[in-house]
Amino acid sequence: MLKQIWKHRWDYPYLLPALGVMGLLIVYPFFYTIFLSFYDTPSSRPEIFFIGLDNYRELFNDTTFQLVVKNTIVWSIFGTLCPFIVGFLAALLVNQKLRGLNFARGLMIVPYAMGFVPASHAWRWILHGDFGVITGTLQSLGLIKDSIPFLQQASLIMPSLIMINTWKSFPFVMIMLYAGLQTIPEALYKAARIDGASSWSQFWEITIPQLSNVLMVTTMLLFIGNMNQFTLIEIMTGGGPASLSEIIVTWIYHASFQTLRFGLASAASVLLFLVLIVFSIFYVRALTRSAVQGG
Amino acid sequence: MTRKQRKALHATVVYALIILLCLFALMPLLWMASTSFKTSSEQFVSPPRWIPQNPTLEHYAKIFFPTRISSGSFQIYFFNSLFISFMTTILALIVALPASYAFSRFSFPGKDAAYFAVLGRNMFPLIVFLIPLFSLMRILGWINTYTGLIVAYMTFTLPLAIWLLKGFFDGIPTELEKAGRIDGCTRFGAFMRLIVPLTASGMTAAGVNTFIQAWNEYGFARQLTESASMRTIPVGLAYFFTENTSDWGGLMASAFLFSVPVVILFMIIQRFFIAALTQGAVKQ
Repeated sequence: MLKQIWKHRWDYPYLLPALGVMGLLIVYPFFYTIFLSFYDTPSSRPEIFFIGLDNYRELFNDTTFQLVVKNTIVWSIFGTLCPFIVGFLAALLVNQKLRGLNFARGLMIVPYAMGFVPASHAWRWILHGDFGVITGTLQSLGLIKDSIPFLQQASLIMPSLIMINTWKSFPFVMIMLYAGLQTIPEALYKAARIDGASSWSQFWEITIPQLSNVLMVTTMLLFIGNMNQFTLIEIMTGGGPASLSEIIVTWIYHASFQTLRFGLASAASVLLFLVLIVFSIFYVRALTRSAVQGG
Repeated sequence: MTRKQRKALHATVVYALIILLCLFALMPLLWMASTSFKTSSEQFVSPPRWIPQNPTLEHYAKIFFPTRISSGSFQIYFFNSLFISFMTTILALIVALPASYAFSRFSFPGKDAAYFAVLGRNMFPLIVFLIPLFSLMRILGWINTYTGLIVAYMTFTLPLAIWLLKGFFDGIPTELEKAGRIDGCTRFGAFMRLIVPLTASGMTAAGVNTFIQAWNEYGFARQLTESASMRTIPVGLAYFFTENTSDWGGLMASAFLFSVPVVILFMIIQRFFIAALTQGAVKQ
């Protein structure tokens, strides 16, 4: 081992700047968060006090945090499922042999290219309860009478946010699955057609199994991305009203920089780390499996 | 149904669904543009109009020629965004270039672990890094400075830049360096003189991508700056609403100006970016 390191000693200087920056900005924060999660950090005083697992205990007993965890689960699952279905459909559509589909694919990437901040402000205006274009159009068509408070009414907040996430994320799914569809050999479909297989059974018996890895990787990336989604929710609702749209990352942000409970927020961060590490292992497995199969 | 009729029906269904999806995809950008050209009163008319009846440039005029120069004007946000994104790009490329080359070419002990640690960053939310970074920046005295924000932006720009550049290095044959070494280049000399010039397109793709990421960032910019004169555009957009007025026209005009360059840049590099994004996930 040491001999190996010595032999390759001139490889390391190439990495030095990157490792220095990563150490300062990623490794140090990672361990500092774990350290801080065992401390009480009173905002009135500069000192911090070791309190063992009290922050974790407080989180488990906090009813608001329980709601936040529930919101995070709903948001991550449906925020993955909906873009996935729409994106898969889009990939299948642009994969047809028809004219003009490359151009359509370019247009459909626009939501992915737009930043979360301007996109969120646009959606806030589109979904505006009184003057939004959706409420206004439905009213003028006589379909509804009252305005629809998409971002205020408890039953509408999460579905609205998930719809916006569908808009923002479906192009990513489309890009990934379209690339996957392109690699399926046409000969497989030809053989199936000779055997008299319907399009439906071709889809389930050729397309899905051939795509299995890219399906897995895309789902994991989307799911992890949703769990980590801060900007969209912060700008659309700020987690409100009454924590109804608060997810763990926005809660951590508010607990740190609004209520200044850095220790408690760090404990929540550590719990989130643990969950994400488990999902990352699945993701890496899917990636390495596809690399092995790809040869 | 004949074969021909079935084909026509199939095409109609595909095109109809594609048009629906395109409208869904473009709707926010179009509504943003539409609102930005409407007078303040036309914004609130019912039924909503997609084409403004009395198109106006008043909201853009407000942005470019503010009646009073305050420290919180769009031009200052714009300069901050541009400067920070540009410097972030330069710094990220300088740091990422040798590292990604090492990851692509060398086989030193600890390589896999280091590469895994670099890419692993993207699995965790940025906001979680904000608490420790905030205290770090306070110790270094970098709160509310360009330096602080540019360095903090390495957290998320560096992993992606390394990953994209490594993909480009992987595509360059190793024979080149070997030939260079025979001609008497040092190893670092071969890297600098033979390989780096070949990665111009890779550097462009990684650079543009880094720029877009920094340009769009919100959470760090909001928390690591304090004064209005340090705000970037994403943070500044939130201040279009004062206590009593909702200036949707001004907000949509600024958001439109902010989005259009990024969407165009992304369209230019999308081919590189998509190739990198799908490589590894897709069996070749």
